[in-house]
Amino acid sequence: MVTDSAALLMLAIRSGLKLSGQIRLAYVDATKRRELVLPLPNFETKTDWREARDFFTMDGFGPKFLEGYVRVQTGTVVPGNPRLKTLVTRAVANGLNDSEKGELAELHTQYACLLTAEEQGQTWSDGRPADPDELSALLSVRQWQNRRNDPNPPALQRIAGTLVEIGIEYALQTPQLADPKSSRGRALAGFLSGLDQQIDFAEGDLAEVPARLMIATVDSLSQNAGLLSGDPKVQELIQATTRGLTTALADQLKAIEGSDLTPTEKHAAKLRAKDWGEVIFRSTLSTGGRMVLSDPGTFLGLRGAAGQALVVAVGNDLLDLVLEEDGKLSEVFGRDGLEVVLHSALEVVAQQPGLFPVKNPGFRQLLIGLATDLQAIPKLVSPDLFPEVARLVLDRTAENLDLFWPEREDHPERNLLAAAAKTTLTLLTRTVPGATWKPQFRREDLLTVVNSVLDEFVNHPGWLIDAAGEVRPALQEVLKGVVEVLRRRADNRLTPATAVEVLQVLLQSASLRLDFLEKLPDGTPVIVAVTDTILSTVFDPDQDPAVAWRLLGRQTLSEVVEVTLRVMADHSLTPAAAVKKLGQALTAEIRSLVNDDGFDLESFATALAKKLAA
Amino acid sequence: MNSTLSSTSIRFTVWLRLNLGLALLLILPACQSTNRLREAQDAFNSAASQDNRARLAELRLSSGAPGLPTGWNQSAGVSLEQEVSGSISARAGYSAALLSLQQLSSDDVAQLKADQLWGTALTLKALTQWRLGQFGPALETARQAQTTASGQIYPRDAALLTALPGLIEIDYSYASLSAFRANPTNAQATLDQWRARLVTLNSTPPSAVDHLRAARRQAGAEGELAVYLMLSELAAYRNFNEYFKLVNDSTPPATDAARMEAGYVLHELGELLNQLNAGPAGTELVTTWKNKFVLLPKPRPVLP
Repeated sequence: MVTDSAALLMLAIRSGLKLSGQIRLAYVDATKRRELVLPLPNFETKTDWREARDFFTMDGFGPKFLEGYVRVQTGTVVPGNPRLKTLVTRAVANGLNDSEKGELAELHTQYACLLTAEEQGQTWSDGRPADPDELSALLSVRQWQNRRNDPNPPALQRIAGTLVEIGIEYALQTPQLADPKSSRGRALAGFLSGLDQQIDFAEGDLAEVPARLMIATVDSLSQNAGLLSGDPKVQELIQATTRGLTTALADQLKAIEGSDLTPTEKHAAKLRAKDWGEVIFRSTLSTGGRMVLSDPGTFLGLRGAAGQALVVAVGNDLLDLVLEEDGKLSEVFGRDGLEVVLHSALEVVAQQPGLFPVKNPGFRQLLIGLATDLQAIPKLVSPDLFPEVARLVLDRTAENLDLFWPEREDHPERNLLAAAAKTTLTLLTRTVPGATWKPQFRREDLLTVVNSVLDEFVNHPGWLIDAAGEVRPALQEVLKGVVEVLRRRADNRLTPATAVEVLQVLLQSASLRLDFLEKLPDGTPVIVAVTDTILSTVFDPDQDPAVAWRLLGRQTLSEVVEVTLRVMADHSLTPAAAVKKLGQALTAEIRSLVNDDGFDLESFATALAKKLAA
Repeated sequence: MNSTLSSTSIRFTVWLRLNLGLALLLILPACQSTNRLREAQDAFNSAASQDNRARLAELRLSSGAPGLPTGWNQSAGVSLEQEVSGSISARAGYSAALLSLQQLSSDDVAQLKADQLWGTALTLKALTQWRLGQFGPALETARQAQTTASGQIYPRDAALLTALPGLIEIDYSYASLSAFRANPTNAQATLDQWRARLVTLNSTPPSAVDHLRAARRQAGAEGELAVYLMLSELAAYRNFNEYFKLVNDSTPPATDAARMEAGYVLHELGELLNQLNAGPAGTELVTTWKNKFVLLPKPRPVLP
């Protein structure tokens, strides 16, 4: 049996070897980067009477010293130098002897110094020239002028990364550091195990990632008490999530580094990747953990490595989703939206994990397709609809995977419910020429209708999907027709909320009888004609306002629609005849309203039934 | 190891000391080649610093002028004696650097190549040989660096290898001055030759300024390296100016192409030093150069 001391020594030896390698590499990198003082080439620094002649005669230099001038710094008058003037005059005429040449050269050196001091704006009483060492420092040159172009990792990253690895290995091997009996210890051990495998932190951009994920793990443990249940599967989940997401994040960072982006763009892209990686990590931990507690049966469906790998694969899918497409989709999501979608995606997976390939669960393509479709809808009120719509689509998809997402392996972007959601939102937000009713559906209104549509797919797929698994045109025909009726017949007395209720009723009733989808000679589906009849009666411009007020109550109108369709479903009539008799029954009931006999829904239903039976 | 240590933290600290100490012991022999290179770099830097100090101090050598501010009456530069001794000391430093590099064993060379430091070593060797006046060997070493270590030459060193023929030309022109002063035969031809070799742009073969401009294009028009290369261009002009004076008994006229180009470079140098926040040292360098060498900084005209 290996003693603790021996194990510690062996660990130290392994760690020392690992660390020494990185320290040496850091030393080598520092040598590459080392500043070099560059010696100037040899050049003549001495000047003579010729430079002096130029200096005292050329504009911008020293002619002022000959005649005198006012020193700007002090306001004092500096007298001219007659001897200088004489020498300069002779120099211009090339009449200097050797001694005079020397004298003029010396004067030049002095006055050049003076002019430099004046031009430097030195404080006259205590001004000092720059130290030669300061000037020399200008010639100490780095290897990489722009540090961002330096491909070598900073020394701290090399060594810090290695210390993190060593710390992880220590924590795993030295149980006392984290009590394995405690649930917290088990959870942390899971996290550390996930980090310990495969991923090289010393190279690349992951220096700060372990710290961020460690904090995320601790936070998740604090916020989700259930993660501390001590269930070994929780630990496995944390381990798998850590390993999988960190690897995916490393791949993302490498791709950014190898891209054509400028150093500044790369830096911003890497920051975005790390931020989203942390968000996904936290969301996966908390969502996955909640699933364990709230639905053990679901979690049991994720038993085994394949199940855990799927949890990670879904998280990776979403990480790819928010980081790709130039980050546009990350603007649509937000942290909360991401959690919502992630939860739904995991629910889908949990239902039938065997039906999803780990390599590509398909959620990314599905969600990209859905987001793209929604963004293409003009006048869609709230672009932030996307997370909720995605959630609805995913939740319903789980109800019947093969029916709603039959091509998830080869064409994951093709999902019947996503297509239906897009159709619904397009129709609800389109404008109709000549419309009298131009509502602004709120976000809640749109989601309610989408939800109703998707409910119908789940509960009554027969009228929406044909034998080949394709969406029937009925949905579009019904929705389009009803929306057009609403816009043409209604006015601003009809609230969007009421309209939504009517639509819900119509969708739920459409499945009552296949005849409702049949078309009248003019091509209008019966159900649309029924709606048209009701609304044209209620919104008749000549209608008594009091009557209209009674009938336009939110509940009343939708109930009238519902009762009408229910009664009609029980009678066998040709569609045209049924619609005509409906109109007659309605007219009669409204007359009784006008006569103040009141409007009774049951009476209306009875009267309508009688009419239809006649 | 005392296995009865009760505290986990104490064990951790002991463990950490163990492996860090071991790490340091392990890296020492593995860094021998890198250490030799660093020694050479240290010697070179020391020598170059002395070189530059002397050269830059000469720009302000002054025995005093009427009305100079107090601090300016005392030259902060070197006397002639100091200049000579500084030069000797610098030469000794360059020799020490070259010796370190020449003493690299085949194992050291192999390790430097493996560590991707061989280009750095060869560049340093070429620069050292240049400063010692071994112009031929310097060019040969530069060629060797560019052919055998092309993947290990980093931006600054690559620019210096490009500039080296120009730097050598400037030194050679300076070294030839005293002989020309003593015996100015074929004066005009000599002047024309030095104009072409030092300051003519787009010359064939390339002039010193051509080599330095090519290096500037490599390095990018920014940073300390650009400062160095621009000062070297001005040095080339200084030496040409000397030949011109010896031949024509005057400085080049204000309309002389080389003098005008030097004025543009001096102006650009001032702008660059401002951008680099070089402070008073930077502006003083430009102002001193202007007034001592009577070279007016001018912005380069913009072509329509």
